[in-house]
Amino acid sequence: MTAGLVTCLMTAGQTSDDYRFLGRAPKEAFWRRYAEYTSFERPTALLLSKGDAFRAYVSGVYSARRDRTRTPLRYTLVLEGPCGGEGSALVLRALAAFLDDLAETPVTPQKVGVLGRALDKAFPEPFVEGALSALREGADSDRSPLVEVESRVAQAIESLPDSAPRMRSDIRFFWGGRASAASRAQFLGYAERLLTDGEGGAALALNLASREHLERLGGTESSCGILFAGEEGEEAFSDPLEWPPKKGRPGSPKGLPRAIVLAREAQVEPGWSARWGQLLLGVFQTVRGWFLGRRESS
Amino acid sequence: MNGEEGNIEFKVAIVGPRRVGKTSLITALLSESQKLLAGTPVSIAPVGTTEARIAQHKNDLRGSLLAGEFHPGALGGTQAPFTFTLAMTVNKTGIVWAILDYPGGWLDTRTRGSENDGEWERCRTWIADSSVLLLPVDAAVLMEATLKREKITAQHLLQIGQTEELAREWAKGRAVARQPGLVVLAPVKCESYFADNGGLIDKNEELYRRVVQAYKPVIDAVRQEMSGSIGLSVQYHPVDTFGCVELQAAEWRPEGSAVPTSDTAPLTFSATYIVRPPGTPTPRGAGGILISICRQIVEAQSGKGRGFLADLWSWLTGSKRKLRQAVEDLSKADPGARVRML
Repeated sequence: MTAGLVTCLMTAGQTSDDYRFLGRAPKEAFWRRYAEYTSFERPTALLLSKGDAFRAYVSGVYSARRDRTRTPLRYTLVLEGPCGGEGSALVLRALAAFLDDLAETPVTPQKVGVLGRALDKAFPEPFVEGALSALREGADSDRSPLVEVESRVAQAIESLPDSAPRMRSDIRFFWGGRASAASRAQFLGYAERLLTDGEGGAALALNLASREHLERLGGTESSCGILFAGEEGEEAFSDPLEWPPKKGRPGSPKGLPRAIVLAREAQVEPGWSARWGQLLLGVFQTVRGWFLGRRESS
Repeated sequence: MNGEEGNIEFKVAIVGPRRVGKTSLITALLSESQKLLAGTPVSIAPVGTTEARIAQHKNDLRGSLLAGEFHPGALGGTQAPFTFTLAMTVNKTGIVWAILDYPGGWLDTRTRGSENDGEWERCRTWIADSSVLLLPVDAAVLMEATLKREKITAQHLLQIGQTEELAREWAKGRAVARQPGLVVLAPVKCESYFADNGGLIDKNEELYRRVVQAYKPVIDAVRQEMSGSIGLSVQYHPVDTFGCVELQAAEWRPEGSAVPTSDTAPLTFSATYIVRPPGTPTPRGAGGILISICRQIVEAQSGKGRGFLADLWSWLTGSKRKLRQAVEDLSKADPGARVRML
């Protein structure tokens, strides 16, 4: 077991479709503050760091197991621990696999991905049914089979490949879409900073929120990276864009925001002066075209 | 009381078992309300991330219907509370119908988990604050139970005991606060039991009988608590949540792999539906719920009462004339032949 790391796993079984934490449950449901911005039943990842400790939440991970009504079952993982330790590496590996799976989920939302398969291997159906049955009978989390949950989660994550590309930068506020490989790489690089570099902030992969929620989601964070997963929104396909929070808010940059080179122009909304300039230029071109046209025709 | 800026929030409580189809009911309610308000200056639309949530649900439904065979389970269940907000507005101001959805398993302490106790308390407060109590019922669970064991299991699956307890608590709160209350018994997935929406078999009388019989303890509890109080209305609103599906097979199986040892050994229920061409959702029956809520608002008018509904009416009679007119018109609309007063 990894020192200082608390691991919790939620899933449901064949006869009980109520999602329960097998064994230990997190002390605080810190993910609930994002309930308005994401369906936890669908792929969601939250990584919150205070610099010295992190909290991670990954949900909507589909299993090949199904319940009695043939509904595909899901996993939710919650991991909490000190930054920079072995636990951080484990979380990063789980996030990498989750993001890799995200690349395909818009097409087949209930597809079992790499992370789901690894968890299925560590949590075969008889084990899950036994653990849920023990829970219903009021068994303690330090007794078999519930006591095995944490080590099985660690075993599942360790079996995952660690090859997902990471884009390291020092951009503090950005957003991107889950269908963009560049955004996923930027997101994972940022998650690595939160987990290992002692940076405070929030890395959020959400499925209901859109650009209009940026300020509410990250306006009070010292840094924030958001991956939108809107199934019909254009945000889902966007490459990473820097997003500076409003000045005066905690965490807003002191200097001018720097752009992520990929798409500088797309993120800049033209100001009033630029809009007036464009308007005058348009009028000038119309009038000039009209005069030239008249001269040619005469 | 106030929800979005310039709007008034109207809380609706749902008490339904796990997997009954609460999200599908809300989606059907939105769809039919939009039809009812078509051609008027009033519009109804999802607010904030409710729009994305409903879009997700519709996408799932569409995918499921395209397969030609429909399993309600494919729509997944609710894992965490979510407040659906539907704004009925004129010029961006109006009434925001706020409907709290939460995991149905939370009705039972054994399946709720202690980590959810705090959040469940919030849900209970919401239920207590609501003047409308919506009770969705899985029509197939009631109608396809024929053997004694199946009927006993149906009671458990519908969590009628827990529903009774919560409904009693809600009614007590209404009576103490001297506030009117509307209870809507809403059987869902009723497509296979009505012949007025593309179905060939009409079993609506039997459905009505079974629902009223099964929910008699709930209705009695509410009536007892609100006896002598004004403004209790208990109504029956059967809803075709999808409209384009037909029950193909219903199966009752022993829970797990255990061999049943007695007549009361628990069973599980699963249903498979075929899709009626062309596979376009045609919900029916949910619009009557909006009409009944508007009727409740109108009946609370003329300063007779106090509290939320009276405040809402005075707010409407202020500068919201078009909206008040829409509420009045809806209250006079025909809720349809399916609706019954209990």
